[in-house]
Amino acid sequence: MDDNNKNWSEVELLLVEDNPNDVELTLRALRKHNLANHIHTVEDGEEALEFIFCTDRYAGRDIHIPPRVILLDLKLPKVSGLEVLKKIKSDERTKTIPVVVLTSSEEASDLKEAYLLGVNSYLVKPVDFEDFIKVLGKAGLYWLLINKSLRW
Amino acid sequence: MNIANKTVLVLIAFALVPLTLAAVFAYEIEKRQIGITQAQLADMQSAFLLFAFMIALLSIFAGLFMAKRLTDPLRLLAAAVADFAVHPDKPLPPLLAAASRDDEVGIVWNEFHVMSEKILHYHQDLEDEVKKRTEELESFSYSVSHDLRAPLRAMDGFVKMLEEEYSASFDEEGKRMLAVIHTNAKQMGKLIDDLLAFSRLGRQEIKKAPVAMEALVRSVEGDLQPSGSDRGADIRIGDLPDAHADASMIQLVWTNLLSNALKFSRSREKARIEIGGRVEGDHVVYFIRDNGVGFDMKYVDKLFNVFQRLHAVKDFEGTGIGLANVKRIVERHGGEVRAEGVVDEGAAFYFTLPTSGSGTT
Repeated sequence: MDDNNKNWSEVELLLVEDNPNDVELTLRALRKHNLANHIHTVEDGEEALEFIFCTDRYAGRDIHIPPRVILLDLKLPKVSGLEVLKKIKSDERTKTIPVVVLTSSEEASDLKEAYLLGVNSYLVKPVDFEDFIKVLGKAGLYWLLINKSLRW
Repeated sequence: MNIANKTVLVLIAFALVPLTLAAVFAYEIEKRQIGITQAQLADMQSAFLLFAFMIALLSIFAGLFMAKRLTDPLRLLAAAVADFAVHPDKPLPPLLAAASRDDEVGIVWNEFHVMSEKILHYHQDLEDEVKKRTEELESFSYSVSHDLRAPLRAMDGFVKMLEEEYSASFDEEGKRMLAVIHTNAKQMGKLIDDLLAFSRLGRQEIKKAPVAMEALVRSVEGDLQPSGSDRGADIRIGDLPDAHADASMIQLVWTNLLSNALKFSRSREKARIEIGGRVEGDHVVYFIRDNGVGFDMKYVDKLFNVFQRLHAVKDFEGTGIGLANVKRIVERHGGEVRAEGVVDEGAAFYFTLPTSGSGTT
């Protein structure tokens, strides 16, 4: 996808994930549930913040048309997932966007920190691919189709 | 001034008494030579007696004062040393008077202060070291959970994609090999999860409270063997005295032991499992016995090790972490675990827990 010609207001799901294999698996899992349209992927916390706050590479995006949900990995280059979460949840313009942490970490400290910062959901990526597809399918269905977000 | 010097001074003071007496006698004799009356002599004698009495009294007070000055700080020191042994964190009593003394007592006091400060310092160093190591351990298990799982997920996911999209290119043998990769990726994921859970059990804080053991065991039984299942084992639950423990951890102990008992007796025509316990002194001994395949007592020492298995995976599933978890939990409660087994006849597991909150770590 050519980012310059992309219509940012169509992005419904922002995927923040640095591992290209996990990106591919996640997109595939969502595609299996016909949820792969209108997804944008960013590879680190810095780019995620630029997208969400419409700065630098994403200066042309309208902050008033947020994605329906952000899927956020915790271990990210440059700016960590928890820092991204903190920035989203402490800004009036972005705190209403549902954020779902999608991580390999089951550490109690990460869970607690994420919930203290106001995460909307916390999912642990299963190793087994079939379980992974199930978890992502359910989460995608819920946040993109069932849950009522502020958008539109 | 040290005690020896002080003693010399005291001795000199005592020596002054006879010297004074001698001086008084000399004076009296001199008086006689110039001729004094009987009455004057009597006066003089009583004056001399009074003087001698006062000197004696003074000497006694001086002696007592010296003794007190010597033993008081020693008594305080003894108390402080004893106190320090029990509560090393408590600040030492202020001992400026004693510590400012320049004799041996003062030296001992000062040395004791220096020594106790050093001990507290070393203690703090050790605490800091333990904290640092624990943090290292946590960051290690963090990266294990995160970094090792990501490549595994990729392996498993991409094998699955191969199967789905290129299944036409694989013959039966090729497909079998893909299945082997899938099974092993899954197994490794399970091993990592188990190892992390085991490590967490070692770090997790134990929250002790009275545990209604019979209710707990019955709920575990209900979870593992749903009522109405036709092929169930005959589980007999006897007396189960309450213990003082962390209920969620003890639930894990029973879950591991009972699922083992069910697993290793499932090949029996009639699987029988007995559970019970009795109070012995300040602890309860619990047991669980089955008539399953048992084990050879010569491997009993290995039974509770991490990832130790005594049976082939194809016969009995599992990673071999269950009994290691049982041992870790029981020992963290200050209890013991023990096992007995006879090949092809059955196995019995025993563990102890404290009955009350006192006297355990």
